[in-house]
Amino acid sequence: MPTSDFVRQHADLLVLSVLADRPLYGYAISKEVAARTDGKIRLTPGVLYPLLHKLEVQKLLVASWDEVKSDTNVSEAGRKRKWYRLSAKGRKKLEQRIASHRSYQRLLEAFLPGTDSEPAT
Amino acid sequence: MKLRERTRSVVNAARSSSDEAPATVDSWLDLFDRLLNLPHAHKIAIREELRSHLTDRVRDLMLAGLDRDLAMRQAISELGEAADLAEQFRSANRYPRRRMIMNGAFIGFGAAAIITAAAIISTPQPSPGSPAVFEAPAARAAAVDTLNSVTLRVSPEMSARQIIKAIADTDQLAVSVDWNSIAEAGMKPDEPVGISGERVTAYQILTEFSNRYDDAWNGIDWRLEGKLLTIDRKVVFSMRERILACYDIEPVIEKMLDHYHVSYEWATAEIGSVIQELIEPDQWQANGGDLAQLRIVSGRMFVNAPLRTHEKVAWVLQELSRGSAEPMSGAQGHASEPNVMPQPTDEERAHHAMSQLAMSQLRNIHMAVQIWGQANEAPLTSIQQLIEGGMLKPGAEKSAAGPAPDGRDYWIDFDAILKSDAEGDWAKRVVGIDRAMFAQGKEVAVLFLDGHIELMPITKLHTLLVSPVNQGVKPDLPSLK
Repeated sequence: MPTSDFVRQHADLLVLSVLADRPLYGYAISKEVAARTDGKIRLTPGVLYPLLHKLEVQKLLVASWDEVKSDTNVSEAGRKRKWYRLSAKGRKKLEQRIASHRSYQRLLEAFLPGTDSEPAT
Repeated sequence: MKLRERTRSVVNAARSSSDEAPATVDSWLDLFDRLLNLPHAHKIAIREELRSHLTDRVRDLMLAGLDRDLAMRQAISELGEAADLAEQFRSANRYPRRRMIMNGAFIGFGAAAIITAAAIISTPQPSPGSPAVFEAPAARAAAVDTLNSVTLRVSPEMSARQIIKAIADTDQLAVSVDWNSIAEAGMKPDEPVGISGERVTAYQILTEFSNRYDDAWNGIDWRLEGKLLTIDRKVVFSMRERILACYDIEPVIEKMLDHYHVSYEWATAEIGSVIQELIEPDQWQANGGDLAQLRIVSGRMFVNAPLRTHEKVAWVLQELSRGSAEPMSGAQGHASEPNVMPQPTDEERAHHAMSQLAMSQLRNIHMAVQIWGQANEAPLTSIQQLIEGGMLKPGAEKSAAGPAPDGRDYWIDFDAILKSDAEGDWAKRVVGIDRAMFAQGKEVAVLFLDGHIELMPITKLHTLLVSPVNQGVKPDLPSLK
């Protein structure tokens, strides 16, 4: 199970990756991350929502509000969800983060026992 | 600590009562609101998002078999301590705030920065502290002409959104607006703006918006690139606009070689590292940022970055070239006093605030005079007429610098403003001066016939007033202190 430090360190990569496929709202993002990792990684609200706020302020995400339509509960009429999608800047940032992560991973492979990978040059 | 205790008491309250569960969510959100020291618009959005999260989460937990009370308790406890979460949001917001503070320093040096930019451009031989600049911010005058050529009919009930749409509907300009960003300036896009006129120009409208929301960081500003008009907050433009400059770092490298006997390559790399590690590290492309770039080629260092970064780069290079030649320790072996990058004094800050107010007031007067010119045949003879006509607020004629020795606050040549067929360069024709600032012998806010306003030293103002285009203008200037 990844440590909470690991999750915090990579939370931006997780969120940007999930949103690369389609727009989602906060709670759906946390469920998607959990589903893709068989529940091994959970983005807690305390990590997720401040991060979404930060990425939006940095213009990596674009947010819009949409009224909840599928709910049948009358008391929830008018409830809105905040949907996020990647901006062009966010997509570029995701590419940079993936490239940086891959090159770091290749470098690390050279030091791990039982692998015959060549270090990146 | 006290705040955390209050948070726990709210969570405990949730554990003690099931009937009041929805009220508990509100209590938690109310407490969170109080702890969240962010702009109002952010607070509302965050609160709404968390409420929606809680609703979704409670529903899922109930579907998993928990009763409503338990589900509510669990959902709230997953959010954690309100104080901790508020702190997380505050630190998430620090990214732009830190930049805003930097921008504040830049704006604080406003006039000095403009002068510095001019000096940079005219420097023929680049030295470590004064780079040669390839490109400077685009001139505003041409944009003003274009915006003045776009006219539309505006009625008082029209909202900002409707007015901006009307500008786009003229098909003369494409308009780009980030309404979320604009909302952070305090503007409510769908409320009536209260501007009216048969032929109001796009420039007048944008000037009015800028005047109403004129905060130095979060105020509204615009840019015109070709036919694309972009409206956003000043801080957004400030983050976006960069200047490419070339620094001659040979003198610095030579001193490092003499003093430390290191290789040329090492010295070159070290200079680049020092700058990218010390000056706003996050912004450099080498560190994963996208605001600034640095390349060193053959003793020349090319930096593409915001102006505020250039100010710091120049200072670091000056220190490097000086530091290697001078002892860094005192005679007793104690570290010498650090040479701190100069900051504006309280007096400079106060003068800057006064200058901003003076410029804002001049803009308001200019706008009011323009509206008067469109609505009235009779010439304008005093500012009082504008106040009585409801086009200016009472007191708008008072200078931020206090009254001039002769008791008059502003001098405005109304004839010049209304004379639309004036010859010569409108951007050089002086029509308004803050007389009280002039009397203090400091930089003066000056209004030009094309509507732009500059701060300038009195010597420059005198030079302008004797130029041919201003021969018809005879300002009644007070005596200097």
